[in-house]
Amino acid sequence: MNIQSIILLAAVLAFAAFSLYRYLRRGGKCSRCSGCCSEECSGCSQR
Amino acid sequence: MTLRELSKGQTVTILKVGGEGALRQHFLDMGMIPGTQVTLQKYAPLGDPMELSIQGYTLTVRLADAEKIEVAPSLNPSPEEEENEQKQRKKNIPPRGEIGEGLHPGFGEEGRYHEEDAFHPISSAKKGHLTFALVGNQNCGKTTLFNQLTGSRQHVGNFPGVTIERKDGNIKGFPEATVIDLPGIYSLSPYTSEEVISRRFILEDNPSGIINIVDATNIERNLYLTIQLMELDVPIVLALNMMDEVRNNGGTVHINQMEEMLGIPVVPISAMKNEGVDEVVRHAIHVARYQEGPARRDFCCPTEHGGAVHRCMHAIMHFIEDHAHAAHLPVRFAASKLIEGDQYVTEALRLTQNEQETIEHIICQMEEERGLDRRAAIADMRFRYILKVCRQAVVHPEENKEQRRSRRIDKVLTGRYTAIPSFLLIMATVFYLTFNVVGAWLQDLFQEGIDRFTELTDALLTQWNIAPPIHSLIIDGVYSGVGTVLVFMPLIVCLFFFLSMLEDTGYMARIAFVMDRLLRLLGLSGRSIVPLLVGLGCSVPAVMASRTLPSERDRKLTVLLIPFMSCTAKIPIYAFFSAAFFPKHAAWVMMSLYVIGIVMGIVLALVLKWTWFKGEAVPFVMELPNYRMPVLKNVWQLLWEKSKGFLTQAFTVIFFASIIIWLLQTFDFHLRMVPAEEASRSMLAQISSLVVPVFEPLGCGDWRVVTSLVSGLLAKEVVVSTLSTLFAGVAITEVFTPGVAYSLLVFCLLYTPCMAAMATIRRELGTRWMFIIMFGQCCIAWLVAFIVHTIISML
Repeated sequence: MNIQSIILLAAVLAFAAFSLYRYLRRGGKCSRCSGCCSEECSGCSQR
Repeated sequence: MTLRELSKGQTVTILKVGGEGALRQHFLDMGMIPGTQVTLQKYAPLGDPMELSIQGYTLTVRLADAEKIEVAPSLNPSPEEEENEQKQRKKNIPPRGEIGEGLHPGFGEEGRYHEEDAFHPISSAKKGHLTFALVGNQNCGKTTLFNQLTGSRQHVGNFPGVTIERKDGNIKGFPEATVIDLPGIYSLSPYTSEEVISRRFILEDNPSGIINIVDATNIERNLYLTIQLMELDVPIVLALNMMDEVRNNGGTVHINQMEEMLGIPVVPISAMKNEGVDEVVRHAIHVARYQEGPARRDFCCPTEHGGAVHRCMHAIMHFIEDHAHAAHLPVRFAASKLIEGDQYVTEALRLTQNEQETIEHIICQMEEERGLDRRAAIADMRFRYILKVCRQAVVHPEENKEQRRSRRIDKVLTGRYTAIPSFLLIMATVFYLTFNVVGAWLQDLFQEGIDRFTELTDALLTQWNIAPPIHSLIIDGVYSGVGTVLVFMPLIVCLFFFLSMLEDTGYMARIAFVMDRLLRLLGLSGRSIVPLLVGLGCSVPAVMASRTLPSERDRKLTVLLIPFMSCTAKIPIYAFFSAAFFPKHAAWVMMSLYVIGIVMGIVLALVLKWTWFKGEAVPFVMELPNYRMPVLKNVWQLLWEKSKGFLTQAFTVIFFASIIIWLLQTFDFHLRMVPAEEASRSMLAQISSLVVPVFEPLGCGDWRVVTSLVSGLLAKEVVVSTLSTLFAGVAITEVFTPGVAYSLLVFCLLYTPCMAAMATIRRELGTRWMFIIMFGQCCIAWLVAFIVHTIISML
C-alpha cells in the first residue's frame, strides 16, 4: 500500500471516529445547546 | 340544556361547568365560567368536535365534553347599550402612531410600583445575573419576542404548542440578563406536560423577573394568566403584543389606565415588527434590578356577592401565612391554589389535619354564600377583575379583520361538505409538488451533482494510484452510503417547507379539528394526523412532528404508527419488483401496499388502544388561531435548521455506518478482500446466511435477499442497490415466483424503519422505545408477509 493510500485511509477513519465521537459525546447537552444526543439534555431538559 | 344541544349561531350563557379534575380546571382557565356568553360557530364536518366563540376567541371542544357544560339562553345587553359604551371609551383613543413611540408614565425608575414602606430596595439581584421567564398563553408570540430579545432563530408557528421545551438566551446588549422562553400556558394550574415545565420553572427556579406577553387581540383570556402571575409577587412587565393589529382594526388599549389598575408596567409592542421591544427590556431590567413587585396582588372585591370570595381568601391567607413562608410560596398565590385544590401547593404547605379541616369549612361556607363551587368561584373572581380592567382600558375593534377573514376561509376549509375534499386536495398538492415537481427536480440536481463528484473523485483516486481497498472504501462505502441518503435531503426540506407553510398559515390546527373524530376511534386525538401524514413522505420529520402532541400517551402511540405509513424511500423497492414481476399491474400493486400499511396501522392502533395504551386520547380543547400570512424569514430559518440537522446526521451516523457496511460487504472473516463474484464469502453474506432460515417460510430463503434486507436497515433505498449488485447477471424472475415477490414487498413495507428514523425515535422517545419498534416492526412484517405468502400459495 503506497503512502497516499495510507494518508487517505487515516483521514477517512479519523473523520469517521471524530464524527461518531461528536454524535455520541454526551456532555449533558443537546444539539440546541451545543451538539450531542443525550437522553435528556441538562441544558434545556429536551429529550 | 347543555352546550351540546346548541344550534349553529346560537349564543347562550354558561350556567355550570361540570366534569372533574384537570380538564374542568382547564375549561375554567380558558374562560368557560358561569355567566360567560358562548356562541356555537359550527360543528366539524364529521359532527364532532364543535367550534365555539368565547371571550373573543375560537375554541374547539368535543361533544362529550360539551355535554358537561350547562347553559341557558343568553340575556344579551341591547346593541344600543353596547354601542354607547364603546363610543364612550373610543373618545379617549390616542392618535395613531408607531407603537412604543413616546413615553408613558409606566417607567419603573419612577418607583411607581414600589411598596411605599420599602422604597427602592436595591436587592442582591442588582449586581448579579438576571433571569427572566418569558411567559404567556399558547400562540401569543412568545418565541417571536424571544427571537427579537436574544437575536436567536427559534422556530415559530401559527399552531398552539410550537414551543415544547424551554429555551435560554441572553438579551441583546445585556449579557448579564438571560431570558427563558417557556412553553405556552393558560394558567398556573398545569394541564399538559409543557405547562408543567413552565409552572415548575416559575415556582422553583425563582426568576429575577417575568416578561408576560399578552395577545392584545384576545386580551381578556390572556390577562387571566397575568392575574395569577401577579399573585406570585415577582417583578413583572406586561408586553401587549399584536397592538398593531388591534390599532389597524380600529381598537386601542389605554396603557396608562391599564397600568394604574394592574399595578405593573404595561408596554404595547409588535414582536413581529420589533416595535416596543426595547422598552420592554428597559422595564424588565429595571423592575428586576430593584425587585419591584406588582403594586396590586389583591383582586377580590369586598362588595361583590357579599364579599364571599374576598372573606374566604383573606381568612385563609392569614391562616396559612406561616406555612406559606416556610414553603417559600407567596401567600396570596398559596391561598388561591389551596382553594382551587391544587395538590402541589397543598402538599408543599404541610398543613395539619386541624388546619386542613378549618380551611375546608371556610371554603364550604364561601361556596354556599357565592352559589358557585370553589374552582369556579376563584376563576369568576379573576375574570370579574379582568372585565373591570378591560371596561376601563380596552376599546375593542368594531370588527376584527383577521377574524372575519378566517371565518370566510373556514367556510370552505372546515365546511361540512368541503372540508374533507379541501384537505385531500391540499395534501395531494403538497405531496405532488414535493415528490414530483420541486423536490424531485432538486433531487435530480443533487443526484447529478453527487454522481459527478463521485466520478471526479474516482478519477482522482485512480490517478493517485490509491490502493484498491481504499479506493473501494471511498467510492463504494462512503460516497455510495452517504450519497444515497443525501439525495433525499431536497425531498425532506421541501416537505418541511410545505408543512411549515400549513402550520404558519393556521391550517394545521384546522386539519386537527376536521380529523379529530376519525382518529378518536383509534385512540388518538386530531393533532396526530399531522405526523401520520408526514410519515407518508419520510419517517424522520414525522417522528419529529409528533412533538406537538399534548400527551405522552398520544405521542408514543403516534410514533408507533408512523412506520406503517409507507415512506417514499420504499418506492424504489416497489418499482423494482413491480417492473420485474407485475409489469402490467404495477400501479395496483403499489396502491395495495399503501392500503396494507394503513390497514395494519389501524389494526395495531386498535390493539394498542385495548391493551398497552388503554384509555381515551386527551380531550381536544384547542384554540383555533386566525389565518395569517407566513413570515418568509421564519420559513427560511426553519429550512436552514432542517438542512443543517440532516447534513449533520448524514456526516455522523450514516458516514460511520456506511464504512461498517462496506467493511462487512468487502471482506471475509480472515479480513481478505472478497471479489464481487464471490460475494457469498463476505462477512455480511455469512452473517445474513444465519438469518436465512427465518425467511424460508416466506419463500425467500436466499442469502442475497436477506443481505439486501439487512443493508436496508441503513436506508431503504439501499435494498434495491444491494439487490442489483448481488443479482448482477441473474434474472430475478428466475429466482422467485410473483407470489414470493409480493410477500417480500409486504415485508419491506412493514419491517424496521431505516437507521435515520430509528435514531430520531431514540432521540424523541428513548432507547427502550427504539428497540420495541425495531423488533416489533420486524415481527409484524414477518407475520403479515407469512400470511400473505400462505394465502397466495393456497390460491
